[in-house]
Amino acid sequence: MTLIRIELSKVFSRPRSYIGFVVIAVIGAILLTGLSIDGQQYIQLLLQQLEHYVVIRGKIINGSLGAWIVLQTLIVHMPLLTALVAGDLISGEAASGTLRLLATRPPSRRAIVHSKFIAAACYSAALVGWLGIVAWGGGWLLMGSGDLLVLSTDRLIILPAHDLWWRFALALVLATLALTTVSALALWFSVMAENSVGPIVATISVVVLFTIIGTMEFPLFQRISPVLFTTHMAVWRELFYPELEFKRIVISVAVLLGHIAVFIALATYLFSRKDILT
Amino acid sequence: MEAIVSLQSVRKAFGRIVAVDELSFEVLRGDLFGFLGPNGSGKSTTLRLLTGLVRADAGRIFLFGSELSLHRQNLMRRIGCLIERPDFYGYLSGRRNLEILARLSGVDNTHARIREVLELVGLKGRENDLVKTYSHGMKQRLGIAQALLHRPELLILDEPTVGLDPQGLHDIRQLLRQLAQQGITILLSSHLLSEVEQIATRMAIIHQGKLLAQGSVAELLSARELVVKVETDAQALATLQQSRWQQSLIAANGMELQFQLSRQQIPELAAFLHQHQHPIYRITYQRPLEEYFLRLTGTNLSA
Repeated sequence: MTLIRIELSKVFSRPRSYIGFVVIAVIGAILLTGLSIDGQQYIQLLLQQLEHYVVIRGKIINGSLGAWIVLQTLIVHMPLLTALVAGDLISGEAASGTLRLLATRPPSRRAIVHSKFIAAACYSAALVGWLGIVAWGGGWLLMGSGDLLVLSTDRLIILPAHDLWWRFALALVLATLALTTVSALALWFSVMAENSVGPIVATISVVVLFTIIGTMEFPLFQRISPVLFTTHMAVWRELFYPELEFKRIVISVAVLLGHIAVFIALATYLFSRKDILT
Repeated sequence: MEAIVSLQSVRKAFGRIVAVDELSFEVLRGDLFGFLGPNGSGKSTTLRLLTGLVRADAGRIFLFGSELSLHRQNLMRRIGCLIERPDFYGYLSGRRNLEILARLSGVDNTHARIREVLELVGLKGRENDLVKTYSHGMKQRLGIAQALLHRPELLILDEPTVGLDPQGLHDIRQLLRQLAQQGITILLSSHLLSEVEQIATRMAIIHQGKLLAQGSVAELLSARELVVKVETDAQALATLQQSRWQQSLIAANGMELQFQLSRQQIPELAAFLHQHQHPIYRITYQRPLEEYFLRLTGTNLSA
């Protein structure tokens, strides 16, 4: 516990750790302001083809829709913001020379890696929590509450306001798990590097590459896609369907947890054998 | 006397470069042990091996009689070290850095102990400033403070006086003597001959990863003769060639004559020259350790 507390205090003492919070606030504010000003026009455009079949009463442009749209940014910049901190956890200390201080103290190297991973997971949770506050709180402040019109490609879904809070809460939990997977990957790369640029770039490259593989409809890629963690990072979206497909959610959670276990095992093995030279 | 540090045929290579080659030596309890070698001789790698920062390819390392690879966690509680540069979390204060390291080492009564070590190394009053604002000398002092936090029995210091001003050098040497008097065994690496000569009780000399000599400083240096250079007049050479000093004369370069002498022979030679009315403009000699080191390694060091 001491080691975890120390790692957390280090993470939250660094100015770099707050870049993510600022970026989330800025992007959230831009999206929510844009939606509150021009949202009606945007929704009309989207619902153009349905206007002869569907009559929508009430306020579609509301805080729930705002929060849902802001949550979409989870797959855009959140992995980068997470990697920015997790990728620096070991390589940054190697570059600054403080890894020597840590590695010559009684705690084992395994304990060091594990505590750093837990700190990275807590940081991911804090980022996602902040995203939730910005999305939900900001949306509610600017546009008030209301039912959620889910903008899906295959159907029109409207979820009642009273049925939303638990979906958002669970979505944030699943998003934290997804970002923790990215953190674990970044930490693994961080063990192998002597400065933080390499692990951050490598992590984002893997996320982009796997996302491309998951998106392309080649038969080979389609066979690989289910085992890639990026395929399961958007599992939180499943929560915004009226009936939940528990099996899909459980599989995604298992794949993400499996990836975390593998990445951390590799990081621990490599760090235990690493020669600390800098 | 109990061996606190014992290396047995330790080898470490980085790719094709052999940094430490079949190295064996012992540091005894209470030693202020000088580990001497030119830059790149393998000193830092040896200290990294002793503190578990790098793994040996072959050989065994024992600390306090226990094998390091098997008992690292317990042994690290008994060792304080400063390896290479004194690097800290620059975005934290000196005190906060020490708090973190004290907790990692399981120090009781952290705040009182931090006050003690800050006072000991002369950093009192600056402990709340961010480390990134510290000078190199202050970081070096903080480095020694962190090594002492958990009251180690063995202190391993890698070139602890590098970058210090004369006052800092004096203070750190005094501190090391004081710690040795308190019973702390100190292993001090240095490329500064004067440093080892002044404060060490025993020493080892390493070159290209191999041990060249080890023993007490007094033993290793007692039998050494000095290379003495005398600047006198041009006629002195002829006088000396007809005397017993002829055997000690090793070179003559104009008015500068070189002799190999014991320390006691220097005033005798001066008296001889004075007696024969040859003026002495200058007498210089290489320090014993410098000469000894030069002979062993073929490498000249500036002290």
